Amino acid sequence: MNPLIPSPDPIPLPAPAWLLEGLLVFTLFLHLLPMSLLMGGGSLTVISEFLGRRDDRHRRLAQATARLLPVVVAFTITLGIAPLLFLQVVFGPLFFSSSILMAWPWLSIVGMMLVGYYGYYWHSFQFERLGRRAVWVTLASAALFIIIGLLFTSNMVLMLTPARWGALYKAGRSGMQLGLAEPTVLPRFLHMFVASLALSGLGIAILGAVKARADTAFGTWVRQYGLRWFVAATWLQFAVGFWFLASLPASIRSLFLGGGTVETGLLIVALSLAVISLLTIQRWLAFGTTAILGTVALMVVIRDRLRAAYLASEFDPAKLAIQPQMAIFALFVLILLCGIAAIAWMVWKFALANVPRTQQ
Amino acid sequence: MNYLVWEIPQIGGGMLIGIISILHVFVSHFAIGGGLYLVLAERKAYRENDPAALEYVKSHSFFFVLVVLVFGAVSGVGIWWSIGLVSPAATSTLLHVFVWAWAIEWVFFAVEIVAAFVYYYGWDRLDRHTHLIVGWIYFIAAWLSLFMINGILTFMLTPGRWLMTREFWHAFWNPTAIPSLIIRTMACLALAGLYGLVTAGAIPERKLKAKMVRFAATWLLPASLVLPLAGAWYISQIPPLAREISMGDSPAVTIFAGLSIALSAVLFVFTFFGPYQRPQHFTLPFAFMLALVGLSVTGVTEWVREAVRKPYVIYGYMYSNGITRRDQEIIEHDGALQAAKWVTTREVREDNRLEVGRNLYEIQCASCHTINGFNGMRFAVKGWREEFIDFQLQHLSELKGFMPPFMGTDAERRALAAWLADLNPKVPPITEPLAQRTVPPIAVAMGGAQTADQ
Repeated sequence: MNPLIPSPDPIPLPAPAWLLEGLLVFTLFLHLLPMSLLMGGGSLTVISEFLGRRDDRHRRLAQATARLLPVVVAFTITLGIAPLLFLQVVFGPLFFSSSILMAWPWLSIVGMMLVGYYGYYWHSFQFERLGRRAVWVTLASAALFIIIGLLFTSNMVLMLTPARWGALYKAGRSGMQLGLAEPTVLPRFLHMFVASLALSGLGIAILGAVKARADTAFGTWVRQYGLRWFVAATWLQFAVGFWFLASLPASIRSLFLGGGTVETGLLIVALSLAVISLLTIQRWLAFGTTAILGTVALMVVIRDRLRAAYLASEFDPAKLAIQPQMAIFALFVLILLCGIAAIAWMVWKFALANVPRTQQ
Repeated sequence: MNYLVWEIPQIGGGMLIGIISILHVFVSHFAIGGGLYLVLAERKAYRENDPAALEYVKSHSFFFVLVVLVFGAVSGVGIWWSIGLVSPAATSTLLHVFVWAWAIEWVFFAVEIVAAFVYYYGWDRLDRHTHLIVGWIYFIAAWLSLFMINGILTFMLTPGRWLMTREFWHAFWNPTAIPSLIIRTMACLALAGLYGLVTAGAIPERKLKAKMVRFAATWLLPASLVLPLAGAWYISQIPPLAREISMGDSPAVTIFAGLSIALSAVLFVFTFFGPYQRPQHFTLPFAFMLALVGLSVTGVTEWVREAVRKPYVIYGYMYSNGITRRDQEIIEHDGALQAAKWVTTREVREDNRLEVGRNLYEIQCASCHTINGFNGMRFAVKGWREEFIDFQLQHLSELKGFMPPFMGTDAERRALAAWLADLNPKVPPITEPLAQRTVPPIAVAMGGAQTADQ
């Protein structure tokens, strides 16, 4: 074990590690959905805004997606809190160490988030007034969120590779490391980014299906346009994904290529679901969407197995001391159910009342 | 000790957290009180059948969304980000003691965010009754998230029986939890009024403006009545040392504590005689001035609350530098260099004393001090001879009660003294050097100073 890895917190975990890791995986899956719409959706909005200068359909599409982006940011942040909480509880000694090594870039995420978020609000509320300049606002916000994504990937890799820490710390205590000079960082980030383009394309297709109820021609076009992005990005993902796989250390890579039954099995099922989705989505949007969500969910599990493989000799959550607080956990579950009910009720009321009151 | 350090030149980690936190507190308390303000103002407009007032509430809600949903939410994440970078050990403690409390708080936060969106985008979509209910859901969820965070925050100053039992509920329902919850709830109402004064002060139509200004000013009254009592209750529950620090022992903290009370009084008096008594004469610059005073009260109060916790970050459990009482025993047994993780050397030799001193500074001092900036060590030890620094280090808890004791072997302590003395030009000795003087020869000092200067 690397001697730099801080000792686990002397206070025991309030639940078995598998439960906390399970919540980490589940909430990360929830976070990745709006996160993908944010990262990919920003880029696709920029493209449609540029194309919208000549093509009115793209202008309308950009306006529709730009209106949604502030809400998407809010969901991304809100759903991002839970996985980060469970990550810090279980993997704190690794996460805090890597974060401190890249403290300034890591802290700057907060500032970039703030500026990017305000940018999308500005864009959403002033779309008409901003006119042709609007695209530059989207571009700036989209670029900020892409940089945030890159920094996240960098930290997530750095926390798994304690062997790199000593040299980085020796270079200075000022927290200025970016941690990008590691062969898996770029393919890992691109893997996420291309996935976000695919999911955003899918999101646009679903938006088109909804719009088609009121405006068939436009809605059908939006649906087809979104699906083109989904299909193209998902095919591209086969190349990027294998690049990422190839960039992993040999011992870890082999786990996913037959060496580990669970790891290889998960990967095969995930890829099969992606192929099924590609083949069916033109005809059956809901079915194809379900299949690709299955791929995303499995990929989050695979990601967890990848982390375990990286840390095999360094850090084993199962060995952490436990002192369960099951009564409070039960209270959390109860409050979570009430919270979901309250959210569902509000969204249901909002969706039902789809005619503005002033027009009644 | 367990973790590496992030050195922030000039301002230091504490100040960084402070800046982010004060801005967040100023906005997040408004986020809570402001929710109630919106619901009650909306209900008032319906009851009085005043469409102009309703328009005002709508525009206030837009301002509310931009301030609360964006700045409030992101700056809250910012506190979490910064405490993890500056005080990882303390952050880890709070996460371990309160995992499920944080998780519950997250649920309330999520409900709050969705409710805010449905409320804002629902003005023209939902019927009045449903819209008001959504507003109530927003306020209740927001207040409940304060309720959770308050238990965690107050735990840091008064962990109470948790120190013995390690029971979650003892940590959460600690001695200052309830008085602090009352204080913060009152602050929420007062800040809702202050923000309301800003938006009401901007209303062009005179009659509506006077009506809404007076309505907003009323929101400061509960705080002005309840805060003195709740404040006295709170102070009666904090540790004796914390009380002494804020009442004379530390001049800076005492001045800030006094400012907190004085500025609050100024705020309430001016609000009463200004916007409450003469709403028709109220102006926007006056509103901004009151808001600025409100921000100052928030700032000095939160600063005092943090400062009185010294020498601990979690009272009686973990010192400000992240070293727990249990670590302290290990250090006293094995020495600080042996117990720490991220050090460049593990032994004290004649030729590496400055390197050792630098390491000890990072482990034990850098969480509150910088070298050249805020709380700067170079300035603090200026004119002190090494023997005097060493004497101070031996008696830190008697001489400076708000500082943790030096923890380590005699040789380590002398190495830290040597490194501190080396920050400034050597002080010429008044008398002949003592027999046991251990200042290294200057050539060794220069050669061994691996990272003494930034």
